[in-house]
Amino acid sequence: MAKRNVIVELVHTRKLENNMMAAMSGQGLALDADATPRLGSLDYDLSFPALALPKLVRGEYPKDELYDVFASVTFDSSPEASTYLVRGTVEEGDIPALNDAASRNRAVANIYADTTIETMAVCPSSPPVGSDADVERLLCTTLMRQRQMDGSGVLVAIVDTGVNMAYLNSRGKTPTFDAARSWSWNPAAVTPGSAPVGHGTMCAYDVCIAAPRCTLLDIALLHGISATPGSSLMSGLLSDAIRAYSHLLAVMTAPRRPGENRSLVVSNSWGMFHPSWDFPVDHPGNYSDNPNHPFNRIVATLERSGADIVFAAGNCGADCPDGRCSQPPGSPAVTTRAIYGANSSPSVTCVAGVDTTKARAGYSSVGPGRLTDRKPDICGYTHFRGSGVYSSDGGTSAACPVISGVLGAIRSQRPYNAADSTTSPAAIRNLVTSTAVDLGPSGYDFQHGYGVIDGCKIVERVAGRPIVIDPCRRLPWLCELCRRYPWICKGLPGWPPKPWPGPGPKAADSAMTDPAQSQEVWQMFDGEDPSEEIPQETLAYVLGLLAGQRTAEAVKPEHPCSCSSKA
Amino acid sequence: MSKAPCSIRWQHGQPSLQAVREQFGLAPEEIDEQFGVVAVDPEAHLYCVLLDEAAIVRIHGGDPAAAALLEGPFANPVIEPFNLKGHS
Repeated sequence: MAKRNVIVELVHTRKLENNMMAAMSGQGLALDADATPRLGSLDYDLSFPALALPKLVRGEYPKDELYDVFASVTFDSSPEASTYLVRGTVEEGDIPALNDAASRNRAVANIYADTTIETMAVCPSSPPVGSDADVERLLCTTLMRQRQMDGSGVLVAIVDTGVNMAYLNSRGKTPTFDAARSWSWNPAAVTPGSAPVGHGTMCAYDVCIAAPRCTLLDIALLHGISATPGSSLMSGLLSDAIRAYSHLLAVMTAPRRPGENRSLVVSNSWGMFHPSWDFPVDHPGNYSDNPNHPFNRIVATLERSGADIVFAAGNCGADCPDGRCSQPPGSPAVTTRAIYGANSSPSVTCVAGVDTTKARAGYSSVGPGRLTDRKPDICGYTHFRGSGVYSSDGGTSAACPVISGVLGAIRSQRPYNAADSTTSPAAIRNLVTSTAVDLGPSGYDFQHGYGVIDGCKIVERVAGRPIVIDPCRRLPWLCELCRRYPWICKGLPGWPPKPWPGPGPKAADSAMTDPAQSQEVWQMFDGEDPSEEIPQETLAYVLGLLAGQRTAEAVKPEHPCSCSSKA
Repeated sequence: MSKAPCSIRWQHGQPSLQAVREQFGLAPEEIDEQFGVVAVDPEAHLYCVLLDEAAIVRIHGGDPAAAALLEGPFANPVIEPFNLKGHS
């Protein structure tokens, strides 16, 4: 039978008071079992010492308002007046007997349920959780760059409100910008690369977290036209997106210069917010659920040509849906099957949002998707302090370009090649989802997809494990010598050896868990051919030399001037 | 009058605006020239144009051979960024 956690409130006794005081002074962090009454089958938690609860002396609340902030409340914090909280577990079936025993025992003031508590989901008004530096660390970007996974030679198209390159540069992001292959819904209104700083610039910044050396294409699609009730200032029509994708298709299929990478990543942090914006589902011209809609068709065509297309899942998560998920405003939000049209296409990577603690953002739309059930595919990081365009780079808007940047980094090492199926967009999607860290219920789920992206594991798959030579396995006699006479080996780089822990997120002990740093420990060995024999004479000579240097340092006089005066 | 996306099937490469006008008997103002003819899936001979809704109705009610080449109107919903501005 299941056990239930309970909190027991006990009246003051000297033993409880002493237990509480000992815990507060750090002298005793365990419950004094002798201080607690026996209550049926209640099993006290001995690791939880008594906790004083001051007595409420006076509470004057305005009439019918128990939680008014202007209420007048005073407490008596003296040990004698306080009650004491302890906790324990009881079999679910024994709860009535426990209540009965407690009601008959004058030492017990009350019994409460001790429910499981969880962190609140990140919502729009929440402050940023971490920064882009944390996202870099979580994505293992240091290791990526060591392996030349930095977006070099890869086109990344930001399909959004337009990018401001000067702003990006001022924030330390210096990707290449390709004006010739950029596009604007109206070149007279928006010059690609010089758009007002806004949503598109944030997206470009977040791409550069993992792909700082990519080549950006500014596809300025969204602009201020909408008359839709509840819509935001920047918007567009899906027909504009068809034009934009036609341009990208031309970019992708155009002849390339010799040696030029054929890779294109397309980042889309936009979409539809409510079904009422679309034709009804049973209408043959419907967009959301209809793979034959021209936009859904051109998305599939662009993917077939080799482009990696990434879409944000949307911000209609049930915990705190965007206001636009309610039409008319104020009505209940549509939060189920809220990943519409191309955002849920089987040809794209659909991105949900988690914060830098890997907790799902409350606004992140959940699946199933409209065109494909298994959407979203993966979680990207969002709601962090990053571009400075907003207080936080938030929404699934930020999670999407974070993933796009990782795809850009992958493409530096695995460019698209029509003749090689392992480089197809589907293969890259599979790489990203199969290496993800599972979140939520085991396996795929509609809140997190396959989990949160794991840059470390992706590096391992794409670039292989770093060559780590263990000198103690190769030359056990040398290690034995060093263990016995550590002063001899003190000068050897990489000594004492630290085991490489394998890729994984940085934990408290960064030196041992950050693979990038661990790799530096082994830098002198990196790239060595393990089969190559090192002449023992050479090693003996080096060790002797080091030993001689140590000895010379040990006997070197501290004041050479006095020596010379003696001479 | 508002224009809506339509798909057209065209067997012999990407058609010009003029060829589309002639095929479907369209007046110049009934097709969005700025949008033009967009290749949606060239391998499937599929292209997209923006047409007046009245013209679409007329085509569907006219010559069956021409009507069979045209699919639509399709929805042209507003799209917006997934920023945090719209939260209430």
